[in-house]
Amino acid sequence: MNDRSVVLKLIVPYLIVYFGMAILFGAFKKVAGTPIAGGLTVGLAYALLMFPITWGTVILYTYLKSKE
Amino acid sequence: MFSVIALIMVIVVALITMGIAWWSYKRVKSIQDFYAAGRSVPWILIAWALTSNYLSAASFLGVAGGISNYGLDRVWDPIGYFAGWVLVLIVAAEFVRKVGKFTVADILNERFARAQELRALAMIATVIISTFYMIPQMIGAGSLMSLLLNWPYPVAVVVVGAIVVLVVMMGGIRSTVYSQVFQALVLWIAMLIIFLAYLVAFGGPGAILDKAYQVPPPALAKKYVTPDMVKQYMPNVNTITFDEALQKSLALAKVTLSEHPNLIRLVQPGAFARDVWNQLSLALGIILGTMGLPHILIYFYTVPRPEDARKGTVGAIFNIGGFYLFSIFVGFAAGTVLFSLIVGWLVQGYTPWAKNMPVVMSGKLLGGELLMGLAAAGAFAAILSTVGGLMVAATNSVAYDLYANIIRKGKATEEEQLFVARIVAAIVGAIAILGGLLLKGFDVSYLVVLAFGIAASSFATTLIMTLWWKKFTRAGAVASMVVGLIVAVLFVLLRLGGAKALGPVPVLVQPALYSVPASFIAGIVVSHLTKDTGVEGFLERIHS
Repeated sequence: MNDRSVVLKLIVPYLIVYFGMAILFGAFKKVAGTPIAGGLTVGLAYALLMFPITWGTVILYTYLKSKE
Repeated sequence: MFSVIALIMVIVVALITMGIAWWSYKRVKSIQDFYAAGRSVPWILIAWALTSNYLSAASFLGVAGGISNYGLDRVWDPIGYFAGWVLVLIVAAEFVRKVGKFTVADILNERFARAQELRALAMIATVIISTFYMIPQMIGAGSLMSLLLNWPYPVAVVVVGAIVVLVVMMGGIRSTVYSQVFQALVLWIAMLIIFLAYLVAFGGPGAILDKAYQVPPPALAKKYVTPDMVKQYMPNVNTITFDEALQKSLALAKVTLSEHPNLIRLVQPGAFARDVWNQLSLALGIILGTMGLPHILIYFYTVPRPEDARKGTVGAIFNIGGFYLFSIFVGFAAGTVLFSLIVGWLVQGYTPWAKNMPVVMSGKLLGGELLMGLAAAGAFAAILSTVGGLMVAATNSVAYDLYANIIRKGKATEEEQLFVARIVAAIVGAIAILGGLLLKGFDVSYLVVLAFGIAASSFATTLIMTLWWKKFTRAGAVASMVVGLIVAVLFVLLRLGGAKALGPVPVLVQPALYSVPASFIAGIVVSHLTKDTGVEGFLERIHS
């Protein structure tokens, strides 16, 4: 896999998730504030999910580079 | 709130930092040692150095402080600053190491051989970004040390500035990197311990969020809390305990919410609301700005191989992510248990305390003066490390790009370059100290937003096209940097001047939504009109 296909396969989905959070916080505040369980709201759950998503992206990138 | 233990811990951090700098000074034998630590720093150390280089006092005190005051809206900040690193890793890190030598300008010069106009532009952008980033750090250092340790403001600014200047003068990036590793451990461990202590005190992360749902954001609640209520519910900061603080906070929150049931809760957005365009502009500025920060990029030159730059960035991403994850929970926990204290400070007009002290007060609440001292030491370490990285970036650029390459045209001897670099470090430090002293009381935190905006729309855009686009030309590089810089600075000046719009175009919190596309468009259009695509085989070499 060359550098460009790595970028397309990893960066594009990541940016969609990232800017999705910006849109949720900027345009859909009521949705973001909806409780899911206990004190966990939709916005907070999305924010907390960004951590495993980011680390997962990093691990996947490292794996793909190691196969080169 | 003076604490002898906190003062001792801060002095210990300062002494160990100076000790590491002295140790490094003995090992600086060449200009490559000063500018790039001899390209011998192990990746695991660069991971920690990048961590503390990036995590300033705004991250150590400001992230949890912001969440504890405003709630969920401020969770966006750590997520944005964390996400920016994915681009640093995938688009820049190892490619920068493959082509650069000492500064960001080297990358452009590797592709567009002997492009002195690009070197000069990159040097100007580096100095602007570093200075605009550094002066708020100095002002923050003065204010925070006054709060934490009762130091007079000028003393705090001079002490912080003098320590960093000495570190940089002694060993350049070598001494800065090694002292940052130590500083990173101090601030990371301090936040980890406070996080773990809160988990134990509350009974787990779910319990923190459950309780956080029972209180409104203090920044909103302050409008409905009277001075009499403050007297009744605000705990004494000298005798504060966890149980008493939590009980008083939940009681005050209950009274406030019973009178104003429509108030949002700490885990809901709305207290620090931005509209979607401001949010998108901020998101774009942060994610691209991170990969355009010169004090981050030059650290990739200090490792032996390009894959070490990649590994170091991966390590930094895990460290920084962990730190921000701890900070989010610490923010919600502090906003809950210290609700009545933060509201009390806000009602009484002690806003800087409300915004900056929740982490330190959490330490006192959970572990007495010892943990409070560790929190103060963490804040001090965060200030020293970020100012150090910024000073190194500015020093390297002025001494190497301007003096050694533009003025002396590459004819300066190593001894001469080392001498000049140390003088430049002293001058940059003096400017930072002077800026900190003269601008006391001014809210210049917006300069950091400008630094990210300029980094996003000058270095990041130009670097992406330089490292990834075959048809990018030398004139295109000049155009993308100049246009990005001008548009970013224009919109920031409009914002600082209080303008709401430029004609039909609204002025946003961050210029990136305009300046980044403008930079890309300028680079693409001019590249299509010109022919000099630089050194043949450049892209094949770095992507092989």
